[in-house]
Amino acid sequence: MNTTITRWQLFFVIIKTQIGIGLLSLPSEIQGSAKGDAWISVLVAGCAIQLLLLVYGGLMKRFPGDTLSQMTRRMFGNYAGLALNVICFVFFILIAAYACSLYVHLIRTWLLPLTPVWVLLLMIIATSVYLALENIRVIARFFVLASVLFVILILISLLTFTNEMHISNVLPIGQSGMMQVFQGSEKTFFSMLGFEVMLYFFPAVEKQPKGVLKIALLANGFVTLFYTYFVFICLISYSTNALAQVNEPVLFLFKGLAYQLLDRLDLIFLSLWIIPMTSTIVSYLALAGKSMTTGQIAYRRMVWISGLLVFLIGMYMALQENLDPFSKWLEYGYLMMIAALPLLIYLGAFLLKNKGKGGTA
Amino acid sequence: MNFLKFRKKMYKQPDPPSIETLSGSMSQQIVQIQDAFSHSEDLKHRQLSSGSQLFTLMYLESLIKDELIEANVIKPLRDADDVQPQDAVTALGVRQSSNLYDIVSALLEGYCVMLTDQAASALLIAAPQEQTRAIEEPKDEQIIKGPHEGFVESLHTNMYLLRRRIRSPKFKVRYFTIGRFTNTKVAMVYMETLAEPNIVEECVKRISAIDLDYMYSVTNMDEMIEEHPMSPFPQTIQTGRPDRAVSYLMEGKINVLVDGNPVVLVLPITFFSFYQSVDDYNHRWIIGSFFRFIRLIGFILAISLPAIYIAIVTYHSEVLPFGILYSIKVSLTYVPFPPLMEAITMQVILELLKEAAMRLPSPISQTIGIVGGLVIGTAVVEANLVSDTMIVVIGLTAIASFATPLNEFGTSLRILGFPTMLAAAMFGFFGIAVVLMIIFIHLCKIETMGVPFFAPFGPFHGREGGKDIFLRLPIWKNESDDRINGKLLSFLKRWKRT
Repeated sequence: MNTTITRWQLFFVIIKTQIGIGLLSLPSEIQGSAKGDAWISVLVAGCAIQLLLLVYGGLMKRFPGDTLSQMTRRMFGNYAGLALNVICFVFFILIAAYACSLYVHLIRTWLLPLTPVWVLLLMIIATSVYLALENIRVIARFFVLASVLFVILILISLLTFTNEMHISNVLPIGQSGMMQVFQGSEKTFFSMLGFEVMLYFFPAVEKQPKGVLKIALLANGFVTLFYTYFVFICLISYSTNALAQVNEPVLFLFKGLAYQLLDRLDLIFLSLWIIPMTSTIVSYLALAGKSMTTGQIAYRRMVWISGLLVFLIGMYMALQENLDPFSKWLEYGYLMMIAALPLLIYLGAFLLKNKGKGGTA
Repeated sequence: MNFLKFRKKMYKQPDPPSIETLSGSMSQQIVQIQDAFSHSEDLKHRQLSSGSQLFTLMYLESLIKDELIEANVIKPLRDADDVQPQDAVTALGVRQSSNLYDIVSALLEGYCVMLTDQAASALLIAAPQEQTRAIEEPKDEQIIKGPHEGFVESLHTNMYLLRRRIRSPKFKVRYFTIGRFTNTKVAMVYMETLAEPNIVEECVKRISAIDLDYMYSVTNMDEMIEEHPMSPFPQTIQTGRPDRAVSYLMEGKINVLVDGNPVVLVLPITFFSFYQSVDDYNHRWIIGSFFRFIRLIGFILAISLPAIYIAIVTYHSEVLPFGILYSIKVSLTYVPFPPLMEAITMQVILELLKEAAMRLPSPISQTIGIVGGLVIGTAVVEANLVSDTMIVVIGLTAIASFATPLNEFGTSLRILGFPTMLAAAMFGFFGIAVVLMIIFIHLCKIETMGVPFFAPFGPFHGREGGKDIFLRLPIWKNESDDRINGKLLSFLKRWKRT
């Protein structure tokens, strides 16, 4: 592969994919089970992902220079491998479409209540395809550039400390018990998806595999802290009852802020948040392309097709009244794929140690 | 059909580099050369004799300088007896050639050709006439402090302006001749040790591949070598300032000069170069940095200010606190048009005024300024066709876009303002975010000669790359290691004498 990225670019690719639409509604989702200990749930979920990343690290060592799609082919042979890759592809498309539908729903709730769904979807997907068509280097460049926004977002979030805050909301620590905290982290886990980009993009990193794992751990650590921070602010700003009633507590945090020149900081925050949300979709489109192809020309064609599929499925999803049963199914299926598949390959590689290396299977 | 084909063939037919040589007696040779010039009437010839020898001088009367021929050719030949003509002639550029193609191109460069009866070869004597205007500051790139020289239309003078600033043997020049009919001289200049060899190679490859009938301007050249013709951003800089051009040479960039143009083309260039001005470097660094920062704010304003205004008044008026919202709404009350219409109309009026005033002599353009600025500006508001706030917004946007040191880039920005406005009118903040995203994705996408256009931000280069971007740091901070014996100059070591 000619186009390489630096390790720090990989860092930003990972965090840009992980941080997305999930965060905005995260606090109210977790607090349903974990109550005041929701922030611990986020930390626990972050740690679980770190463990998973260690498995990924093992895979990278075992198959240097291979993306996940190449690994599956190597492990399970051409046909089974292809079938698995198609499953991966379908999941990436579904996840992207699901994220799109949530995204459109959010935009319609907060910014543009009357604009038709398909117009919004078209704009989001067209922008994403425009970037996803390019090679990983350009994508990484844009993600790094757009990460400047996180600094601005954190700065804006500091303003919320002028709100009334009650630290007693989270006290006593550990009030809801282990099981509840774990249930909460299960929900968090799905908002933190995106670290799996590593499996497809690490072969492009310069001087790999040294330090790639460390960068991935660092990226996930950053995301975990970022999420914990926002969840924590929400927890101390709202009582449990209030939190249960708002859909996007992170946005509501800013709604109360008013200054001489600006009101409604939530709209500004959301406008900036559009960029991380779109980046997530770019990543999944790129993953969808990468999961099926290796060459750049085939990749571009695949991204076009994926864009079209995401648009159609996203349309369907956005028009559904209630996506909950579907999203449950999707989330667990996806979890199976990104956790079980690499684990399986990893264990399989152990068993076939003598045969494996360098074999084309 | 056939006729058309034939015409096209006729037109496309280049002068083939013929291997024809001079032959026969002197009069035959004269006819040979006259044939090559289709018996054009400004090709003069004159008989001369020195001692026993007979000579014919041939020249294009418009291209040579009479005094030079009189002093360097005719007079020495008159005075000399029985010397070889090449020894008698006192001109600097003298060479012998029998190749007709060579002779023709020499005549076109302002040489005069001396034919003799004895030999089937000609003596080519340089006597070109150089008419050029005086060196003066380019009107579109004026600065407050610093050298006030500018390039002129003559390639030689321009090369002089560059060479004089870098007196180094590493300053390297390569000449090209482009244009099948115009035979325009093009010079590519770079610093041998500083320029990236593969960029130089790529540039040479692209320039050599140019196959045009004519090459009028640097912009022709730019269009032939740029990589992204569909991009709204210029990917090369055209500067009329030698000091600016030289500073790029010292950064390892390449200058391309086209004869007859008072600007040089600089490549490969990055986005932030468009926001550097010579003035930054001629002021104290704090002042320079401050002005650069103001200009970068101008970039954001020029693209997004009218769009943000449109989005706020059409969709998100809740973003403004009541006090401001009230005064804006009052000014909007009697305006019958949607904000997008107002904004686009005002932008178009602004561009119209600019276009109208630009080429007129200054007394008339002042009138236009008064009519446009005062009469239209105030009357439009009083007639309730456009709101006060919109006038303020458009005015600010225009000023922000004119704040770019290079005019061309500012115009690109104003054009980019239109899609942003359109998106804002249709989708509010969401539209602005999406369009800005597309613009920045585009900036990350384009590369010139393998150099990312948006460096050092996309890709991010951290401290080394970011030195001369937002801040104009003092020169001892900016000087790169390899230039000063591998030692980084520091604040304390500035005066160190060893």
